[in-house]
Amino acid sequence: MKKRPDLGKPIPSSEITPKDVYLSRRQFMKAAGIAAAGALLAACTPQETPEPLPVETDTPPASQYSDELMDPATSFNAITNYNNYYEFTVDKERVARLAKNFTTTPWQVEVGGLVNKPRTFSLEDILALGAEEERVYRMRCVEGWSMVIPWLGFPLSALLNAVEPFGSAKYVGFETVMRPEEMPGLKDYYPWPYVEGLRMDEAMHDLTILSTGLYGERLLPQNGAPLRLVVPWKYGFKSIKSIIKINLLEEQPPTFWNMLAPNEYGFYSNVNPKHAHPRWSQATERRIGENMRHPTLMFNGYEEQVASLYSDLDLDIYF
Amino acid sequence: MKRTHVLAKTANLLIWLPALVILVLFLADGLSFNPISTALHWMGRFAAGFFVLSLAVTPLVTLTGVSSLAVLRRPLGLAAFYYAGLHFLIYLALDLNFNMAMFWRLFTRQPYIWLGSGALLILLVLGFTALKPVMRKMGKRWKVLQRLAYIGIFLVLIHYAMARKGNLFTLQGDITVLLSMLVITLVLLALRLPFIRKGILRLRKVSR
Repeated sequence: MKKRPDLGKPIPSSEITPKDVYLSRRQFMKAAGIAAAGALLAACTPQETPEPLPVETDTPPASQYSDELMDPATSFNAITNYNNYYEFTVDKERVARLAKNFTTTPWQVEVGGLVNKPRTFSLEDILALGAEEERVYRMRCVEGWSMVIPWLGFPLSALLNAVEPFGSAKYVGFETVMRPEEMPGLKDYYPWPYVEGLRMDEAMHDLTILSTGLYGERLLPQNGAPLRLVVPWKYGFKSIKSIIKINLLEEQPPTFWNMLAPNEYGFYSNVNPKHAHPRWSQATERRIGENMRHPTLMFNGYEEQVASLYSDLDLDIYF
Repeated sequence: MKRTHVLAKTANLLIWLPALVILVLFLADGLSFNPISTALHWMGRFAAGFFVLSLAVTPLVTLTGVSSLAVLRRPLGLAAFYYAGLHFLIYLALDLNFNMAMFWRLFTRQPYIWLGSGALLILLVLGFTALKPVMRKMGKRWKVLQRLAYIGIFLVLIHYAMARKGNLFTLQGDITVLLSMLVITLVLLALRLPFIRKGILRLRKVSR
């Protein structure tokens, strides 16, 4: 529950911004304060004492992150403790605990298929490919809840360009690591490994990123460490976690949830409030940390950027 | 006080314990990062659970021969109704914020909503007719009416199955609780079949 500020009560840990994030914000505020005071001094005659610097309080400020719609970022605690990662467990609240000792170093990603330069990248190679950027994206789960997440990452296109895809490559397939000794959920009866796919133009789109971090920190295992896909205009399950294989293909690759229930989860799985899941509505979503439902936006609010990719598709058939 | 009275009184109090725990956790921020959904799901699970338990009383009396257990049927049945009511109230008030237009849209389009509403209606009827004066007035017809419970439990289980991401037909997804409830229900209903019941009663007499 979101609470109104109440001086008598301790603030739940879920609302506390991670320490280094608010510390860096305080440093920024201090610097800004000094700069502002400096400007003031330069502008005025110096007999006036400068404005006092912002006072540090014990209450950390609300998150400095928000998306382009001014929706504030979901708390770090919620993002790292409410996860769907079936390789560990189907219980969202137990993923973090079960994934705690998941090994993420060393890590290798095999990129191949219809490319000129197939190559196995180490995580370090991948990090050297392009400068990481901060991308604050909405994440809409097909189950009807959503978060706003400040990712760190770089466009997937940077990696794909490095291996020089053939013109015949029309799709990109992804695969999650399978490590039964560290992932107890793999015992459950599912068509493992987790696989996902994108059309080439979706994969090359600037909004599509490979993420290595969030809230300015390296990803934690429950969020798909050390490397995951983020496709913000599609339902969350398309953003495959802990990737070990990327394959460029001519044919549309199989995808995990589509194999499980083809009538419920399509290959595209674009966020679409008008196309209901056969068993529940997708018109609204519960934003984690808030009490009111949000209306779900077409393409999760990225319609302007991505609608043109689908101009010749009937989105009710290719859902 | 008779022993059966103590048993019924205790049951009448204990059925409120889960709701109390859920309420306290809800107020103390202890229900995950999606507390409304979590509270909603727990109320639903307890409604279904009490429903199954209430159906277990008669077979349990048949199996054990302890007829005083029969007094548990009423509190357990009422508990199913109370938790289904709380489940619905949380859905309407906290999840939909009393947006009746939205509820109606969902009601007409989403089968799991009208299945759940149907089950709630059955529980409402059974709960109302559990009032002693109504019961007395209905006489023999009361027992016939109680058979609605068999329809009700299946509506509940289908409603539950449809609201999950998993798939009951391919046995995939988060279906452990649901599947156990379904199996228990089928066993309990089988135990009520006259020839099975008589067989058990005969066996008990022989072993004595």
